[in-house]
Amino acid sequence: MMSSHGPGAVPVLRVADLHKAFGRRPVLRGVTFELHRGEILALVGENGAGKSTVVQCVAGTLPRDRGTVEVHGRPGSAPAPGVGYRDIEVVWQHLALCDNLSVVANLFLGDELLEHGMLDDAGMVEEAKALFARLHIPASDLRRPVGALSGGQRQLVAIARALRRDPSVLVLDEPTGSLGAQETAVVERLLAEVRASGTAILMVSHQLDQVFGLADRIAVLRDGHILADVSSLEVHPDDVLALMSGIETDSAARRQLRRLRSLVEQLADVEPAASLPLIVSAMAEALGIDRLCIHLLHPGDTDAPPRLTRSAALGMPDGLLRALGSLPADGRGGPPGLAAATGQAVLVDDARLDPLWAPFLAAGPTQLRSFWSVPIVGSTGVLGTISGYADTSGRPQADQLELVWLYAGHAAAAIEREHLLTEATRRNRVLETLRGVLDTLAGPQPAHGGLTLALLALCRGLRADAIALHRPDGERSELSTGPLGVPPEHARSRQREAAEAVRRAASGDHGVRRFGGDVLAVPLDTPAGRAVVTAWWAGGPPSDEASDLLGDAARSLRLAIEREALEGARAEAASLRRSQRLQREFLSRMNHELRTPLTAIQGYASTLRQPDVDWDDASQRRFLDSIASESARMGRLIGDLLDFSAIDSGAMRLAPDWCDLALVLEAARRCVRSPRSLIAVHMPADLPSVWADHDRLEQVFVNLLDNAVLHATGLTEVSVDACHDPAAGTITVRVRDDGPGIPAALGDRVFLPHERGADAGPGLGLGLAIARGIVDAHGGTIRIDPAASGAVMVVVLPVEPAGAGGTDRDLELPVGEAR
Amino acid sequence: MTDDSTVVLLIEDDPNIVDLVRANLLARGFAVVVSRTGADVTALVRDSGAHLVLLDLMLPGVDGFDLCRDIRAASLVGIIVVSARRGEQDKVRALNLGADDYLTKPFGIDELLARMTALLRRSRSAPAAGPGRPLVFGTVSIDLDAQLVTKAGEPVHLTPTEFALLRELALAPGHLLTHATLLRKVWGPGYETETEYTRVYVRRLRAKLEDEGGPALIVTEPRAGYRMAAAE
Repeated sequence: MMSSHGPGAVPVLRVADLHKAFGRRPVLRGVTFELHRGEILALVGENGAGKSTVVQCVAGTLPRDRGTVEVHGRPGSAPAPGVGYRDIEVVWQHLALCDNLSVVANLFLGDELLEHGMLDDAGMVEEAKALFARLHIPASDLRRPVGALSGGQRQLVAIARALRRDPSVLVLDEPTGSLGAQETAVVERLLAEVRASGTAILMVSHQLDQVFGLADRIAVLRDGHILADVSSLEVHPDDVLALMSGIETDSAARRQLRRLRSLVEQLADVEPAASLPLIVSAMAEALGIDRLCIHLLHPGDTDAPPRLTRSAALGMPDGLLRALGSLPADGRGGPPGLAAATGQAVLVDDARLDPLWAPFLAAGPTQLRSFWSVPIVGSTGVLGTISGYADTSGRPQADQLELVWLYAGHAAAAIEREHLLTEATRRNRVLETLRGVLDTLAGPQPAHGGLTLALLALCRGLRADAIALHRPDGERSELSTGPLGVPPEHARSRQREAAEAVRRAASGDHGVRRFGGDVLAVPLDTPAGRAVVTAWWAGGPPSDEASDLLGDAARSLRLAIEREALEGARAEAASLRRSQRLQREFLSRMNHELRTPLTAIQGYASTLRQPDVDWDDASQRRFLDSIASESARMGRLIGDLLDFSAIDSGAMRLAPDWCDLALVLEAARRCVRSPRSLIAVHMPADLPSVWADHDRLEQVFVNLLDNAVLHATGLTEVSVDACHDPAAGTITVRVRDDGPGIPAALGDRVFLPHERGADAGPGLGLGLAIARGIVDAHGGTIRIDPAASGAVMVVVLPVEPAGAGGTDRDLELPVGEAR
Repeated sequence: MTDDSTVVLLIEDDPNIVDLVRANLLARGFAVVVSRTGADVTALVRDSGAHLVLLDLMLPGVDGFDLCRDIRAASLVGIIVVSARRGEQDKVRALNLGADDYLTKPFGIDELLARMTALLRRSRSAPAAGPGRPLVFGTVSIDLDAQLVTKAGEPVHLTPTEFALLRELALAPGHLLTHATLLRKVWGPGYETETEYTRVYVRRLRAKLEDEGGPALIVTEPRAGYRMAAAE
């Protein structure tokens, strides 16, 4: 809608049939799109869809295999290979700013103004000021080093640098990927201005809410194609999500499930060793063997001989698990030891027939008769063993053994993958995983409790023993990777001290600080104040790399916290809106309910005074009767309002006495005008008297019976049953109708004032709120029986007043439920 | 009740108000058809041959505004909305959706009868002594005798209230008619301060008779009233 191009206008950027493969893996398979003047096109897709490859091909920094990129109808031209096209400026996700240079120096990097062969410093500052003014970016100190700026300010500098050369096309790679909510808003405002000035913008983003706020069109990239190119005004975010993932997102629950699954996958990715249990269980399935165990070989050194330690195991009794926990990697270690020592498979048909195994059996697995062990052989030699055990004699068939070797190969690959991960690549993987977790959290529908998962992932990544998030409001989330989930008390107090120290430190200090040999802490400045993340190591000081990782993660965590606060504010606003809507509806209904009888009264009175009509006696009587009944109706409404406001303000007083429930119910039944339904009251003869206010209880049951009669089908009677529970000292009264029942979605909220079912009859909807207020005042309870068919209201009343025996004291009402 | 009696369709759920209004209308020779739910309202208007509809805005489970719009979309019948809502917004909204008049609860029977009479007078008005030939304003032609309005030769359907307002304006081309004058002449005595009525109805006339961006047929005199562009 925003693009003002006509059908024949030449697009600013035309990308056609773009192909790109890395090795034999095709990434882009014919990407085609156009971008017009003053338009923002968002390119969205899941991780790995090829978004970054598109950006690099469009920018000209990556050679394409096939296809064309045209700017203003002419092929894009680069001054030199790999440098990028003129007229297309890219703001990369990782900004490419020099932290130690000033803002001005970064703006002119590689393109400095010269005067008489000298750097024209004053000229550059002037031009930078003019540029910032043109873009409406507040420029405070242009000589500050970029490293001292916030994420949002750095982003603005990077965009300003790109716009300095007045490009026709601005390409943004995840423009607000690592920014907080407020900084994001600043960048978004700038982009809207840039668009208004006519520059065409290609924005690569995975943040759908941002895409919908800014972009005119959305192109969805999947499987190397543009799957859809739609106007952001015409599609729903859910549809775009479905297009991105290729999965029909038909329900919020399924979306949530998918997001949680992806979180779990990302967490599992931090621990590749998790693949060994998978291999064991797959093998048990394939071989039909149910006792399996993998041992890993730890090479010995001069002090200690090599040993096997148990890793994944399946179907092993506890005693056996203990016996196999750690074995010498030689003949004394039984079949696993021998297999590891020789690199050969060891098959034992019946261990009791061979004295060689006697010491191994004596050490624990006494009841075992047959076992086999196959070495896991990697490129560097034996890595471990896979063993099977049985308490009968026999050995695996040849084809089974073949399978065991195959799985041993898989296991070797998994173990080597683990071994090959150096600390550095491991750290990158942890970071990537962590970022993935946080991206998922920051997605359009945040997974509840996800911040905890992210902290847990960080704790594992740091190999710390405990981690804590100390929020600005003093609330703490404390987690441990240990089995208890809560870190030990001395660790918690060490972390608290560190957090306090960081909180007191100068606000400009954002770095990771070390406290003693066991705690690291990093501040997170959020809009609500300074939060602190602390990590604790039980065994010795953390590595420098742990410190770096914590620093890197801090920014992402800050984003997640801001996001969480935003969600909380949103939920609060929604609930406030709901309550305001209910109040408005209530006022409107009250207006109608009060004016309708008033209209009838005034109308009948003025009718009787009409000079031009002589009403017969029957009509006159009818009119007067109606005036009387409408006046009574108004009286009841006003009574309800007064009762409710008394309950709501706690000003209502009861006048209790010993009263007979049978009489109360009989009086209530007579008050209900029931055109269709019969009301059947069943009372045991020996029901004791209750200490209560007769009139108020009658009011409760009139309300319940009115409701029951209104909703009953009329086919069966509305029933009222009472029963006495001497042990509990209570009487329970159940009022049952055969109507459609209370909608499950409404549930207990029917007792709130202003809440009404969709099929509610006339009235203010205060009846049940008043009933609950009165029953509460008697120390009883009122609820819906959820399991019942039709609607069943259950009132439980104490026989005697709570506390002392009955004197004629007033019972005071609790403050109303609504507030 | 005779065949030529005036039929009033009463849409109201409260039994006492139904009884009250029906007794009064029957006593004055109207025929009364009652709907308590507003279901199938357009068919009801057509089949009852109603000359006038009394519509309660607050019916259980139905939005009275929707009913008002549905009736107006299908018929030029006079509509008086009866409502407990006194807000200006509700009044303007009902008029915008095609109501001719808006009566707030509680009301006296005199007032109801007076408003009904005024509305019926508009729909039945004997052609006032007109000029005898159609009045022409640009592409719009108004034949007061035949109660026929055309635009570029095509007939334009106006409700009785719209027509009555257009007639007052067209009979005095070029002259300023104040809000109060128009209100008294079209709606009747007692309406002089209800300027939302004229605003909403002039807007409705413009929407039916003027072209977007074309010359104004009815000119607004701010805070005073309206004048018809001079005839050709």
